[in-house]
Amino acid sequence: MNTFKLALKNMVRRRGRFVFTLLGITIGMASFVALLSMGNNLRSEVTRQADELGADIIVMGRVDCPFIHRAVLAGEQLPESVPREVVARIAGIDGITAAVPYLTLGASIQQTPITLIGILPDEMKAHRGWGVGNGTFFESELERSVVIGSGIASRFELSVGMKLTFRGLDFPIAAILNETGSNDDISVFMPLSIAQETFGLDDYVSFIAVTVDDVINIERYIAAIMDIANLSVSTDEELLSSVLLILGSLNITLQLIAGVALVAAAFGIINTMLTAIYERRREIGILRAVGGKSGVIFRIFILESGLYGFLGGLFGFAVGFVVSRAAAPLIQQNEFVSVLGNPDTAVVFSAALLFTVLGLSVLIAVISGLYPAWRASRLTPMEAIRNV
Amino acid sequence: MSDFVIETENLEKVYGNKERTHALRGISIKVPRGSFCCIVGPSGHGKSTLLQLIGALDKPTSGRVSIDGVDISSLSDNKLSEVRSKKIGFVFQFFNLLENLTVKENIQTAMMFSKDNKKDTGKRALGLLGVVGLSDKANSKPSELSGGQLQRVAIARALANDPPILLMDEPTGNLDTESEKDVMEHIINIHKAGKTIVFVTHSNEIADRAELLFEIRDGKLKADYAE
Repeated sequence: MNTFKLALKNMVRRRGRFVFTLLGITIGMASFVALLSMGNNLRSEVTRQADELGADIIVMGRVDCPFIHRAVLAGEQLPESVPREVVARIAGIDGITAAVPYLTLGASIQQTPITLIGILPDEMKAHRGWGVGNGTFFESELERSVVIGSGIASRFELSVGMKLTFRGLDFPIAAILNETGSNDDISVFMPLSIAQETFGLDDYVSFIAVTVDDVINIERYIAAIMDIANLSVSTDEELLSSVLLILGSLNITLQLIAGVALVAAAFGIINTMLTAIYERRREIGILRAVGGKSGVIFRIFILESGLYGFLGGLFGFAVGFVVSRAAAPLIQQNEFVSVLGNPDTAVVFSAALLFTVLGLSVLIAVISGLYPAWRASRLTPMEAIRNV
Repeated sequence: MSDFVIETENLEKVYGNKERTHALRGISIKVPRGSFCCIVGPSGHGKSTLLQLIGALDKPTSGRVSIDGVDISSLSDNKLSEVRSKKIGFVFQFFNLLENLTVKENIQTAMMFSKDNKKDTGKRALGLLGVVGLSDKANSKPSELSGGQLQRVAIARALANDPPILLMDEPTGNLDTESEKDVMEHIINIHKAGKTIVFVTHSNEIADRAELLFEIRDGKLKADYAE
């Protein structure tokens, strides 16, 4: 027999209350786990996308907002607002190694929305370092065919030679790209001119990804680009910080919601433990009468609170894990945070996260238990026994 | 070592602040080591209060209590807990066992508070259950036992840390005649093994067996009688 065993036995004595108190802290921790990791995953996903874009400077239309920045990073549909003729002029600036235009369009395959990107085939292939898995990559800028990412091929069970229909026109699949791990895997590519013609667009592109040979002098290149055209020019880092700024406030909101759940759970523990003192006055008195010091009583109550925290953290972690996966498709409906819908960005099991959650949960529970434990330890043996 | 294991001197206990109740008024008694004493008197006249002060469960308003030669009247809360753990075993009228623990665990709980008595608690608890004839009930919950059996468990718990003194507050007051006889038999055997027993009772039959009798009325010691 020891204080731990005694605390454990006390805890499960009233099963209903045990379950509901545990449920409180479990829900609190689960929301903490789900919301926090969603926020963090969103952040790392956006950072990853920025890395993969592989551009030092992005040239966009004048409409410049975090939503546009986010769409650039995620490779999603954007209005065509940059005149195509600008591409060659930017590419001609001394020190600029590449200027690659993107025309990002919304299309669908088998009624499922996808992104179709109009590209200059050779520039894009060189810029992205693509490898071709099956078929033959575009042989000219006027080829009426499409090249698809590996993810699109596997998702829609497509192979080279099959046809995709856009705006009533059939386009044979010329090639399937090797897997890149980026948004390229879930995009369909078409030569820029053919895309403009198919979708009835003027000679504009959505944005231009620019690489330079000397990043230290990036401001000089930005100035040179701005001299050419009245466009919005940002570095990839500015783009990323703009998106992260929005995500930061989203993260804070998520954390506050999780915080409210945790505070509610903490009060649940305080309430349970205070009730337990009144119910267990006689028992406290008996323990004191047979030699238990006030410190022992304090320890028993703190242990009990801590156990609630430990179990709540453990279950909360598991529930948060499941909930974040179940909630992913729902979150996908919000464009800005749609990246969360990707199952890969739901809670990923990590020992560090588990220990953080357990540590936090136990800490909150122990802090919540301090006052009840102190109250219990102040009871004198006679006070406790007499008041039964 | 003093011949008296318990000594009180002018013990006073007043309850309440506004409405003051004088529970004890200057009680001085001496209990010889190894004796079997009874405290008798009408209900509400201070018998239990005296036992609680001797048992370090409560502090006197004034006066002095010595246990085994140590003045406990001014000891800290923690020191009083140590005295209760080492020197005193308590048996209450209503058993006061912990309902969610087994019989054996109830006895082990008392052992876990003793600094130098934490080894082999399971084995020792079984030994004590043997002393009170309940070896077969070690894993039973209190709710599964009769009144007499519960009181025998409470006695075994009081013996958990082998204290020199056992304080019993009407331990047979809630038992039928048969159980009372049975419990008394165990108490007498424990006394014969060398323990000092202070026994609060209303029963003349039990009081007749005492070697020393203290009669309390209106918080005062009315008389003490030696055998």
